[in-house]
Amino acid sequence: MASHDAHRAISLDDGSAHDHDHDTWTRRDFLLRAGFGGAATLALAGLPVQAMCGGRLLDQVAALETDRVLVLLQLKGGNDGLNTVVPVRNDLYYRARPRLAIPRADTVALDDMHGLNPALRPLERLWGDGRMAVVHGTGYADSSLSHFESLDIWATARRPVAADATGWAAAALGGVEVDVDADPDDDTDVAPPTLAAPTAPPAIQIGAHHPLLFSDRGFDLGLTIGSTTALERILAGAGLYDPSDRPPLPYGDELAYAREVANAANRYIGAVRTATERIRPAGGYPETPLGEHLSAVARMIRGRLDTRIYLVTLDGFDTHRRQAERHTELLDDLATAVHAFYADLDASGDSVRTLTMTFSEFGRRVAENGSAGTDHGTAAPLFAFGPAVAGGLYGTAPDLSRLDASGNVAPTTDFRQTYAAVLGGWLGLPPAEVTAVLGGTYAAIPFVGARR
Amino acid sequence: MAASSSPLPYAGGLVPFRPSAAQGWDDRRVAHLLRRTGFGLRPADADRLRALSPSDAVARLIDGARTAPLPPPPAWATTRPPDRSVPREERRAFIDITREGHRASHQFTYEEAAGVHHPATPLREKLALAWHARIPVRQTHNARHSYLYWDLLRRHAFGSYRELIREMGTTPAMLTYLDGLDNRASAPNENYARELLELFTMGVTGPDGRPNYTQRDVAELARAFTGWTTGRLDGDGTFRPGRFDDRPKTLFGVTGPFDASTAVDLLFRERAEAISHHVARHLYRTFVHAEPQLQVVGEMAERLRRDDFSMAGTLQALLSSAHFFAETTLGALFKTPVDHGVGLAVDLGGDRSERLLNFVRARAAFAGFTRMRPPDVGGWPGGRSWIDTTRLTQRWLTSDAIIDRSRQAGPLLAATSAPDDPTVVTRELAARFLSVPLSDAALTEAESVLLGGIPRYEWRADADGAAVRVADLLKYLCRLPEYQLV
Repeated sequence: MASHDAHRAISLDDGSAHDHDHDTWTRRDFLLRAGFGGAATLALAGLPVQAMCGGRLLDQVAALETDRVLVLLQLKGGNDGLNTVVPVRNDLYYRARPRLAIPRADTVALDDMHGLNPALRPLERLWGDGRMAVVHGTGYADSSLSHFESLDIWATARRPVAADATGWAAAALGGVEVDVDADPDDDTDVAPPTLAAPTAPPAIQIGAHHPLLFSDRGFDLGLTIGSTTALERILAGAGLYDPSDRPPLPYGDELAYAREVANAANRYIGAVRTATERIRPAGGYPETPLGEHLSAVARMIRGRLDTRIYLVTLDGFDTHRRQAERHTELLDDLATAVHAFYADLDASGDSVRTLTMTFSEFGRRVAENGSAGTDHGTAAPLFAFGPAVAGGLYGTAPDLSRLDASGNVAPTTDFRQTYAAVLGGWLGLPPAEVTAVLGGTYAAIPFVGARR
Repeated sequence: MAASSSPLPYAGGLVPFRPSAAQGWDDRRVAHLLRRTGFGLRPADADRLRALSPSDAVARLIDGARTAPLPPPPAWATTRPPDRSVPREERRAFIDITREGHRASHQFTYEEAAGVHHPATPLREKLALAWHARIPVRQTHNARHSYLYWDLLRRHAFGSYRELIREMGTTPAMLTYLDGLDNRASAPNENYARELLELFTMGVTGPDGRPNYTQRDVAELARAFTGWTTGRLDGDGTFRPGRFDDRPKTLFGVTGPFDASTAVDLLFRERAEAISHHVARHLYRTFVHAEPQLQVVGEMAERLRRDDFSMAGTLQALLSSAHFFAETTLGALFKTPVDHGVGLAVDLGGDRSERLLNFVRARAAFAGFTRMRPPDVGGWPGGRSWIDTTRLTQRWLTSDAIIDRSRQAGPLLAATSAPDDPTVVTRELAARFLSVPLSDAALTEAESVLLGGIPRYEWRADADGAAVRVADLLKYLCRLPEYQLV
């Protein structure tokens, strides 16, 4: 099969009648073929590529020598925390939400005071097994009600957010990026070389722009990297364009950026392909974008792709109107997909090294609005999942009797305390580095439980 | 947001560009003007503009685009949705009309960008797309909504930003997208009011870094916008006095019985400085560079205020300025997916058929742009966000396929000054397709792609396979990082 595919790859590319020694690989071959792995292209973690390459923690490679994986699950738009983890004994909640409140009897009890939205019932098993943590009232003081400001603050753990800010995940991973020592003039007209291991993308994001990973919706050229030999050739060509050879004009900066992205794409396509080509997708996922994306993440984890952080996004939480039905659908999607994800990883034995944490830019107003929806709010609970999580409720629920001038709750947990937990407790960054990433010292919420 | 320092020097700002021996009104600058104000480059257009002065060339582009005819509403935009009482068949027919309308509306944008109906439309469509990226809406159940929204953007492309914003607040696509339909006296909904202030007019903070408004302003402004809904049958924005909150509102410290129109007047009066900077920044980011040069933006903002927010004069000044034509400005902008796809179709000089433009539109989705499906209410941020590992590789596949479909390699080869000289062919095609120069080493590499392994002295333009090799060269050039720049 390999030889057949290799032959096809070459013959399709070389439509002209003659020449070409098909067994030698020239740089031209690579230039024309690179990126033909259309179905397996990637985006980097919502973080500019230059941030991935220029992290400030270059000395910390050793600290991240781990096979642990962090999956960040973004609930984009501002999740309604009060209808996610319902304060079932709080009259203020029921009074503020005559149309949207969820009756206590419908919820899945977490403790005496709190119940999960019934749409989250598929998570009941994770909760019962002690593999799910709920962190109350997560946010930050003097919350911005702007989606964009708040997203930036969550992404950088900084306020105000500088124009050239580094994402917190990028900062944490700064030491992982391996410098590919590329010689652009190295025409590899030689037999397949011996290769170092491919450089895996330190972080992978799926679903924020075009979730094409492993789907076949990409343009059908009928051409993929047909054999391991071809793949090795691709990997050998890493560092195709020289980003340092830049004209001393402003366009040179943009050019260097585009070259970095092109080089990263070529390297990462190869790495992801190597890791996943023998991994079959598991069943049980919902037929939704989130289901597909978590299934793809599971394949990469099972294939032991050397990627530490994944970001998947579930969009649609900006429920200004007619919230009830939409929110139910979203939470059902979330719960079903997370359940399937851990079933998949349990079966392969990879769940113990995979911790998942949700986040959202803010919660929503305590009182429902006149459109049977809710407006932008402040703090909300977030979830962590996985065998490594010490299950339970953390922190204290926000006080609904003490709202700010806009009718919003005061946060009880700083979101950076959850980052401190996953950076230090899970990925193993030393305390000083956690402080450097977060721009201050924050007491970790101790939901990362029994270490392996 | 913190101010950022632009990599571009002031370079004379809005002072008119005067060609000199060092910075001439040459092929590169004419191409710069055409590519930045349109999509791709037709050699005949370049020849025409080169004969004019830079400022006359810009005036001609703007006047042409401003006066290019807008077709009357097509049938799909005037067909009224049927009443509930009509038979199911008729209602189904309307669904079909709507589907066709949405398709035609998308298609029309790509045709206008390519100048299919009139050669001067690309600049107008560039502006419409730029404002769509900043003031986005989603498609609704009624294609007429799309028609009205795009018609609004095109009519006001060179007009007053205040009028653009005034109409935007009551156009049905926006009323639907940001919940204006639910915003009524008894139950105000803040969604549109907040985004109007934050995203469409002024931003959270002003040029001086101070907050432009408070949460109270948002809530009061939402009340001013109450009362608007869409008529059930024709789908247009309709004012229902019974839903309007006619009590006084206090906005930016001014109290009055503001409504959706007078509130806009107040906004532009009380926050003229912030709004003019906001508009200037976006025009700058569309035509010049992703990181606004603050001094130039300041001059643009001043001009906008002087012109009472009419945008034509500012555009004329910017596009014919020393700053715009400075060496430091050339080539430092990333193409949008529409620039990339339509531009390549135009650059190739062949097919601009419905079929090809449909393909370009489908491919733009993979590069991150689906018209009327913004990633969120903030629209498309542009700049470097157009280029990531997914989007760049998708662009490669797009350009490969457009080159194959266009079958223009032969004619392009024949149009070079010396088709039998592979060095000349390589250099001329690189200059024609790329906005920035290639180094000699890169040109040598490109020439080796053209030759594809045969000795240089064996190259013959009339040989079998020469066109295939030229197509390979074009694909190579369009995969270069340089090709993503304009």
